[in-house]
Amino acid sequence: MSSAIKERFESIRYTVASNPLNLLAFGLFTLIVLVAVFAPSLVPHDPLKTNSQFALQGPSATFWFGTDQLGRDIFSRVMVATRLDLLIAFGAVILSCVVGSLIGAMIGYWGGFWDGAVSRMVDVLMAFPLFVLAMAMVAALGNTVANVVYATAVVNLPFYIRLARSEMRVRRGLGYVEAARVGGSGDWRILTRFLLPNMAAPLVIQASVNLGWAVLNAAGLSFLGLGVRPPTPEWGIMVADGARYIASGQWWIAAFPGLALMLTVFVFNLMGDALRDILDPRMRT
Amino acid sequence: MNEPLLSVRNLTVDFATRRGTVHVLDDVSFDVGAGEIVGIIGESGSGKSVTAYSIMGILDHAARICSGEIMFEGRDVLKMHRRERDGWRGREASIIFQNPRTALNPIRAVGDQIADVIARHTPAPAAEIRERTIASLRQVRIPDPERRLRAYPFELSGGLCQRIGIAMALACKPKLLIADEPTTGLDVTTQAVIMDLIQGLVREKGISVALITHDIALASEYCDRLIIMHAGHVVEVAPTAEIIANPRHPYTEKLLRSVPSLVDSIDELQAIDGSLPDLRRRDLPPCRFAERCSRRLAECDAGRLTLELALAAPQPCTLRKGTGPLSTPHLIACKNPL
Amino acid sequence: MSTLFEAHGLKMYYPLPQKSAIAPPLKLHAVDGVDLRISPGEAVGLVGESGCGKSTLSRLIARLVDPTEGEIFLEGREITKIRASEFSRSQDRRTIQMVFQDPSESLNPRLSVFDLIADPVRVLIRPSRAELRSRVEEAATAVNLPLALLDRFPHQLSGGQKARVGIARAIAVEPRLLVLDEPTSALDVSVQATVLQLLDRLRREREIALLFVSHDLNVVRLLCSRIVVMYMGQVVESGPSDEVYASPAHPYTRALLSAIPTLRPRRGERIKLEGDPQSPIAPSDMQCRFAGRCPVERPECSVTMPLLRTLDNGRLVRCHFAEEQ
Repeated sequence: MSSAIKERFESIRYTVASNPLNLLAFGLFTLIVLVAVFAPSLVPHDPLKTNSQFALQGPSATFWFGTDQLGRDIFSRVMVATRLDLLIAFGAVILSCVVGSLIGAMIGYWGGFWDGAVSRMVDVLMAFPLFVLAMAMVAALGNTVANVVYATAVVNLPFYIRLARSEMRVRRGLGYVEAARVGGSGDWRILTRFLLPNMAAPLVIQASVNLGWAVLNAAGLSFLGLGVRPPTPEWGIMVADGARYIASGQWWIAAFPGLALMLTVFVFNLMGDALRDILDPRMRT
Repeated sequence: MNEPLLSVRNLTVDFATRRGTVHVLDDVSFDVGAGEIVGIIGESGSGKSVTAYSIMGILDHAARICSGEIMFEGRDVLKMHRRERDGWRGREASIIFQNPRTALNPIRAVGDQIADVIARHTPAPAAEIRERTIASLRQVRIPDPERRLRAYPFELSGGLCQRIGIAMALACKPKLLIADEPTTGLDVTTQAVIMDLIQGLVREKGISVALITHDIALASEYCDRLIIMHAGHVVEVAPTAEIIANPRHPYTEKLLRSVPSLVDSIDELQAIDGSLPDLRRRDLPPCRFAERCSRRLAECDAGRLTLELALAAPQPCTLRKGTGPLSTPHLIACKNPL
Repeated sequence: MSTLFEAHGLKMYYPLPQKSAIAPPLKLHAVDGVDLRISPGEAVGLVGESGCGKSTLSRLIARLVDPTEGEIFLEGREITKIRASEFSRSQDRRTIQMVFQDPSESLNPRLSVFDLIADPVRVLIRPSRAELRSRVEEAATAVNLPLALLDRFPHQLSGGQKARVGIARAIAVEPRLLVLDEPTSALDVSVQATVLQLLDRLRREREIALLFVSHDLNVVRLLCSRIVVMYMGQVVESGPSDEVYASPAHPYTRALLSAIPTLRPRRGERIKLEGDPQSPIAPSDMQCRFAGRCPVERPECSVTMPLLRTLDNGRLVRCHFAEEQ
């Protein structure tokens, strides 16, 4: 057993060593998660406290990223916002990954009527501009954070359904599925115990790439005033707030939350590549 | 002894993998004479395909040729310029691959693929290239070549695809043909037809062939000489009849006894104990068969092992008639031969 | 001799996608009327080339797929009354087990060797933990698999070890019939020898009947007492291994035998099959399926399909002119 672990470790070491970007991706990802967890107790200022005395100050030793029109510390707000943005993104991605993979796996395994029906529905869903669809859903369901999560999850579903379906169609004909059938396993057991675990790697890779997109989507919705409401610190709202001041020279209000958003998306994409290298070396181009 | 066409000397190749460096070939040396059909025999992991790919210069990026020479008509192929080597490959030496269907471009008509090869190495007017393409299909006995020119690989059976592969390989009249398991994916009846075709063509044109195969019975029917490989070493080289009647290396002997066609009951079959040594090991013994060998001596683990003339004089043997094979003696890499 | 397994008139037709609404529905005749009988502890070899239907037939016999037509009896009871998906959960599933061609593909990469062998036992026998372990270890020992390997995963095993895991998982539930679909074709010859001897020993010691599917007559003749040769979905010859090997009666069997490379001197001239095989899609019932490739073909062969008939020496042959060879 220890040899298996050693081999696994060796493989991860090789992947990291062969591409230092992978190490960077994991380092930054850990950093972002730590910020999300600990930021509220670490930031120098209360992110919600307004102070007109310090309104619209540029970056300085006291206010690292400057202050906004209400005198709130932007550094503290950017840090604290990480948790909410990540929660929305993770929530949406986990939801769509679990539901989408299950649906995709089932239609891929059994085929037939439901395969055709669900596939056509997915086609219809993908014909909409996804962001507009998400907007419409939040508007219709009600302007809450939970609905942002559901909307982001729904617009992501087609990717997981398609991926899981195609993976399933390839794998259900493999020898070990026949072997399981000879071993007395029924369809449901084969599906859940044999096929789904073997499809985990591509789905996890898809999810990590998808995370970046989900963060952008959530921020985009709140930029438009959907979902998260002020004064809650959230990158999208902060960028929207700051946008008004860019013309008058107060660039830092929009720039720092924007940079945080960019960095997060970038790190998630990098991590997707790194995970692919480790989980499925054959996909490496 | 006539001058060999191809002469591989002390070829050593490593592969860098994510689990360490694999010493795939170690000090491999052998000759292929003009007009001779040589079989390179080995089980999986023996390095036979890597040997072929090294000669052709189509190794994977992970591979590194550490040392050695590949002399072709007196020139070291490994020292050639990249572009010179590209020209050499195809015109002087060419290869038939194991899986004919994947070796062909799936979205290009087979006639065009052959024409590409001809046009690249011997530019000529389009009409002449077409003539030669048809001639090359006819030579591999493809019925109705004018029509088959326009076929795509997926429309042809495995046997027909391999005939296309042969036509492509022979289109520029090479002096050396490397056949890498050319019939492995084919049915036995097709295998026989394809092998007869290859043999007929190369004998007629005097082309030298290195037949890479795991099937010693197949090689014995078509080859003048056999080169037996095990774990990246050449362990025995001798004329076919000689090696089958009188194997000297313990591995060759065991290999022959595991072939079903040579025994009459299941109890006579002999398996080879153990498995290939892990070629990533730093402490590989000088003889890589030693750990599986029942004739192992203390000196097997000491000092270098080289391919040497078998001690006893080679038995007189009757070789096939035709272009004469190299009159090579029986070589073995073993300190305690049979 | 008693009968363990019996199949009558097995047919497997695969419908092809229709080219247009008015085109007649076409079917690929993978298995076209096969009868088979296997006694307890008997080893039967099923030989033929790719596309002859031997793989489909082995899956029909292992009850992995439902036949288009035909009946299968196991120990005298008909088992084709229920669908294959139900059969896989029935008690009879234990009796017929299968070993697959590619050991790498047929082992779930995420399971340890222990779980691979244990899985069918868990589902089909539902033993206690201690009994499960003892059954798995017993099966591993029976195939000479070191118990230290039970914690490994398939990618850490050699080809021969994987093949033995495949056999161990099949015998762990104590089957009476083992269907083997080219179990050695992905193995090196030196490893193949071990696997063949292992199968032979299991057959003798446990009275497990074997249906050994292979393209290699040389291998089959060593392991099996009876050979069944298939061509295009039909049995063309069957009989005791030694006799078929020594004097094949069907021209296809002769061609197959003579095409196999051998280290021994050949008996006579090699028979070469020229011409293309017929299409397996809706083949004609009026002509011999081997017509067009047959070296001893006569005009009759394209008008009447020969029946599988018993020769004077008791062997079964599907050829009009078997006596004349």
